[in-house]
Amino acid sequence: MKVFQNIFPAVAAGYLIYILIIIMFSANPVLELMAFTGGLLFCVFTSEFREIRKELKFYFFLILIITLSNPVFSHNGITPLFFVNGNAVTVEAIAYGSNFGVMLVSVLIWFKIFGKIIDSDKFLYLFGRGTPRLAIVVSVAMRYVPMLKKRAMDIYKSHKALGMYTSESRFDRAVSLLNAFSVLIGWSLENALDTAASMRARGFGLKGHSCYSIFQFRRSDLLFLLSGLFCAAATISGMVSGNLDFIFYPEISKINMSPPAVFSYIAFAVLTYLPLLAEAGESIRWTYYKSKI
Amino acid sequence: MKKDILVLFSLILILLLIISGLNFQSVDSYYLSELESVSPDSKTVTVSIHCDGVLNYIDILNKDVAKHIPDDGDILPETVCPIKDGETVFDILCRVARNNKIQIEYKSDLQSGAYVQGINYLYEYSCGVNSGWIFSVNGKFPGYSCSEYELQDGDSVEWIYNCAQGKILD
Repeated sequence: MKVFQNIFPAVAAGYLIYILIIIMFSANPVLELMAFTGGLLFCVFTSEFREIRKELKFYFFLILIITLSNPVFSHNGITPLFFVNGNAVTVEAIAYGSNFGVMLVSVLIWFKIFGKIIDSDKFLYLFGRGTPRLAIVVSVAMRYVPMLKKRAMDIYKSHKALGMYTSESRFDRAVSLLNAFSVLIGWSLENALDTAASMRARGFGLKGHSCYSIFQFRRSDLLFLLSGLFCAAATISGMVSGNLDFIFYPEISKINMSPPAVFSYIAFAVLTYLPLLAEAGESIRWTYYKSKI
Repeated sequence: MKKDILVLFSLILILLLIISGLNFQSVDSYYLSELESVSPDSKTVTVSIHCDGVLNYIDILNKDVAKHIPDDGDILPETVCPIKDGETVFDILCRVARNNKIQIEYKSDLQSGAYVQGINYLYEYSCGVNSGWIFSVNGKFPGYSCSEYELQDGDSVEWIYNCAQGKILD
């Protein structure tokens, strides 16, 4: 993740926010699939496969569960497969469920990318001057999840060293994990208070308090800014004009293949694949330079 | 170990209980079940389903839904249907929908009874914020759940799609 991390924070944040907004407000499966594959490939490309394997499994199960549970709650649609207690299980409900699952997972993936690229330093730089209080709350919250994971591991290990989890029963071990969880919550809440007190002691948010930052706007940032703005505008105009409308109930509508719609698809594909292409290009250049040494 | 087996066993038991409560039917057997013929001495009611009101607002309706609405707004013309004692408006609606291959969707719970959300792909809220399905028996709107209303011999039930922003249409 060399390219995207070095982009000017406001440009990178804007770029990711366009993608998130488009994913959240569109139901078009073409856009959802592009955002999904683009985000997933970017994650796979920029992190160790060992790290991401568990997450891939989680995403897969999330999509599966949403796909299977939607027909339980929705019986609309013209092609029933079979009936359960007099309620139809339809193709349309399953299709809607899978589309919604993919959408949810792509939002999760792009938020993960957002958290990786806009780290707390950049976040404070972006929002620290306008709304210092909100910025600190959000950056502490974003830091919370990886910190919780690490601390859960610590607690688990020390419990193990103390001789817990020796029972052969899986049920007993699950109950012990609950115990570890309550320790985790207590520790984290206490720590959040400590952090707040420590920030206040250092004068964060006081008038005249300045921050040192190393970010500067370069020419490549302008390129990213313009291409991001252009692609997002092309996609959003397609959504507003109704070319990208897609409906599942009562019939699954056909994918719009008219020239303006295809133009919007291409624009969104550029928007979602550009980070991946930039990273790939950078790593190719890196290996090329290394081979010449 | 013993505890594990106990927990697993009870989970399987719960799962089996849920599955035994479900009744799976193929599409054909669903539509063909509960067909009943009218004999001279059976008690009958008449049922009809219309959505005439929607025809005035057809352009604000989603075009895929509009495609399935009949031109005259009669989803089901007046039909004679045999009833058993104690059958409710909701039971009869389910049966005629089955026999005439009309799609319906409803919510039901023990407290407030059944509520019909959509008939023939036309759902509540599709035609303005106060639109939805209401029913009348012999020209009167009871104003409570269709699964609470028990029918008598000779009643006439009408299901109407109401677009009139909360007012009941004549």
